[in-house]
Amino acid sequence: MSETKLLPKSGKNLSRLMTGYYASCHQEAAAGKPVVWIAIIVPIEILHGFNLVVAVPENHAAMCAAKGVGPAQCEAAEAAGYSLDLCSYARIDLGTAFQGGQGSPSLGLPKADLIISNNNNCSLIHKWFDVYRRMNGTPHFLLDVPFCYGPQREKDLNYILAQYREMIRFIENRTGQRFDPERAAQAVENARECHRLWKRFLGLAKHRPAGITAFDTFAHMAPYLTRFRGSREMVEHMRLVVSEAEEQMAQGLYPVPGEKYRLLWDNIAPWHQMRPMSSRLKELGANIVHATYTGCMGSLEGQTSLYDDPDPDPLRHLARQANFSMCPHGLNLRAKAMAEMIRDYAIDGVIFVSNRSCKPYSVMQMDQKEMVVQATGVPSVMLDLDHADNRKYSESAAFLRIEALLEEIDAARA
Amino acid sequence: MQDLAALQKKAREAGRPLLGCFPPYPPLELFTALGLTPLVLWNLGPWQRDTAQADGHVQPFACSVARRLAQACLGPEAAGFDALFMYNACDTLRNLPEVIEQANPDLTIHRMHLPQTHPPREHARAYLEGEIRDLAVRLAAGFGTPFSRDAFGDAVERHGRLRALALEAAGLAARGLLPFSRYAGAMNRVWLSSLEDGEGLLKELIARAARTPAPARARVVLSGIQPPPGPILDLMEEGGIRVVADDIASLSRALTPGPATPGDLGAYWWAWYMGHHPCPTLLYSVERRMGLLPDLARRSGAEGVIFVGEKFCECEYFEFPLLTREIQGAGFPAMVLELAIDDRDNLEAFRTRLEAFAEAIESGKGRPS
Repeated sequence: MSETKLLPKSGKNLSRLMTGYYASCHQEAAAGKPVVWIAIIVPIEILHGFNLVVAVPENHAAMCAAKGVGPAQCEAAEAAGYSLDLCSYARIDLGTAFQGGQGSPSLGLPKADLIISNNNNCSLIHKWFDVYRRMNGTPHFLLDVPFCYGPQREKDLNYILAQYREMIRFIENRTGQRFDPERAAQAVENARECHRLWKRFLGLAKHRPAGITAFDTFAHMAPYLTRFRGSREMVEHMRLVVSEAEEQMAQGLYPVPGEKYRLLWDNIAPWHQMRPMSSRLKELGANIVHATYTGCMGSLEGQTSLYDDPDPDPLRHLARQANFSMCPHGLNLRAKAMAEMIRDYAIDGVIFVSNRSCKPYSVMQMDQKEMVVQATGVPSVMLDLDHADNRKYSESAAFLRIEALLEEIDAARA
Repeated sequence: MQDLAALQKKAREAGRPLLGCFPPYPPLELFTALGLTPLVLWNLGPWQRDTAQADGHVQPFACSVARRLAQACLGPEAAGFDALFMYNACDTLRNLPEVIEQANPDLTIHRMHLPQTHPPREHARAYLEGEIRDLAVRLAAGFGTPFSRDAFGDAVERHGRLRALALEAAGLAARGLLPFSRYAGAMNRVWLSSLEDGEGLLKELIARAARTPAPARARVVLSGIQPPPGPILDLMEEGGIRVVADDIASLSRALTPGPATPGDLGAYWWAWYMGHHPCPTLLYSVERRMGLLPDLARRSGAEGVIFVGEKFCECEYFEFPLLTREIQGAGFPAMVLELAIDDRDNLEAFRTRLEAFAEAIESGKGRPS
């Protein structure tokens, strides 16, 4: 999935990790290990306290989109009655499942024994996953996580914590396994170490020209959103990524050497456009140096700095981070975080992406755009894009707007 | 056509502050007990065709419910509310409060998180009870109207009466003694009226019921997040399609009775929300939703089910394929009508589909089941 020509060792390792991950999911499931499907921000660290196959349908859908098979999988779901207006991740996943994995680069995911979702990142994922509960009778545990209109409230934290404990009992009861708190605690420590490396990696974009692009962060976040989160493999991968990127910078190698425009991306990655978009931007001297989608990893709601406060209770630490991604954040928190990103990364312009497949991310962006422009004076543009279904994307329309943004930046400089 | 401002003006005649509420299942009895007039901001199409202000804040791929709601809270009618209340349902509605606050910084929005765990769990109960109590305290402080058990008991009784009247009217519509369109229209107005006006509207509706039923070619259950626009209901009636039961968010689903005795505030609302008529916006109710529609169709003597699909309502659209299959498996023809924000202007396509559906039901009547 790597789009980075400058980070060959990291790209190779990423491919090795992800290929191995999907292969091992099938192999371990075939050997009898219980399979749990989870929503992308369910705290995987807790699942390290069990011996499970952890499969993440959103990750699989993104991978299908990046490999160019998204629309075909979507069509299979649409043929079964699932509307074109539903999230393309959901349609890819359902389409893959309805075809028994056919058409997927990983042959889909092994059949779930348990499903765990949460409703803060996307409340509709519950309905998507519930299709499998209804079709196959798979037990489905929903973590109910209150939305953050402001900093997380203590009562919300305690409520989430109580549900984590219940989720552990749910898994124990259905797998017959005993939760190992030490392994989960070790996973939390590993994730903290990964977050430190992740922030260091992101920070390489502060250099002029930037040492990385947001496309690099989209690619290298992939293993983080699988069972690798909380693992030593993820830490070692990030160590490799950071060291390789730093070495390249030391040699004067940058992804967009003639960098004229430093841009910020707001929404999920355009999985089907990773190479075409990054290449065309490079020709224009533009680099998307940072993205809200990946900048939030390792932070708390409305912040960009590293959250590294060690709580003696690892579950409590995870409950505090339950809303780390952008979607569970209210408008004011998002605008505050974006203003920090614009300042810290010396952003010249913002690309807001109105994503038909992600209402949690997109509805409020029209006001967010106004707030950010008013607070920072940085020009912005709004693109229409679907993160995984390229039938709803027009490159010419998107670049018409991007080029208009670059012209606006030029005009302001003149 | 009356507009929302006229309804607000009428509701204000009751002399109490107006609280605009969304989504469709707010704790109405609590608000009434606190001396407020809650207006449920749902199915606003009949009152508000224009979404000019909302279109500057909400993308066109949001459903019409959200766009009209945003219009009501961002347009000039926003000034007609003393405050707003919202709880979590879908992602679109969850994202709206700060958009509204941004445009109307003086309009307070009281929020509540409704636990969505399923099956309902004890810590969710404690959480909801805390949310309800906090809400009561905030509203009491905000409006200077202290909460009392007696007032709550009185409000429970009055809302119970309103629901009973609404169910009576629904029963008349099911028997063909009232056009369903008139019942749905009246209910739409009831939710945007003071309690006393709402009671009056329903009594008047019931009093005007016919003595002999209108003929019916096909008897159906109607299911959806809101009823179809009046002109489409008229088409159904013209085509001889009678709604013998509904599973509509602003109709039957909202008429869930509360516990018989008010008791503790938190316990009351826990029982009400957890025992609520299943709805795709209440994630915890999904377990009960699958069997509900075939059962409703059987009990009501329906011969088919029409799903009213609100374009871009993912809550409903994730459920349609399985629900349709379930309904058809139970021997009932089913049809999904997809309605977008401007579909009251494109009626003829609906006429054709509705007539075809009625014919399919009619032609199937002679067949052995």
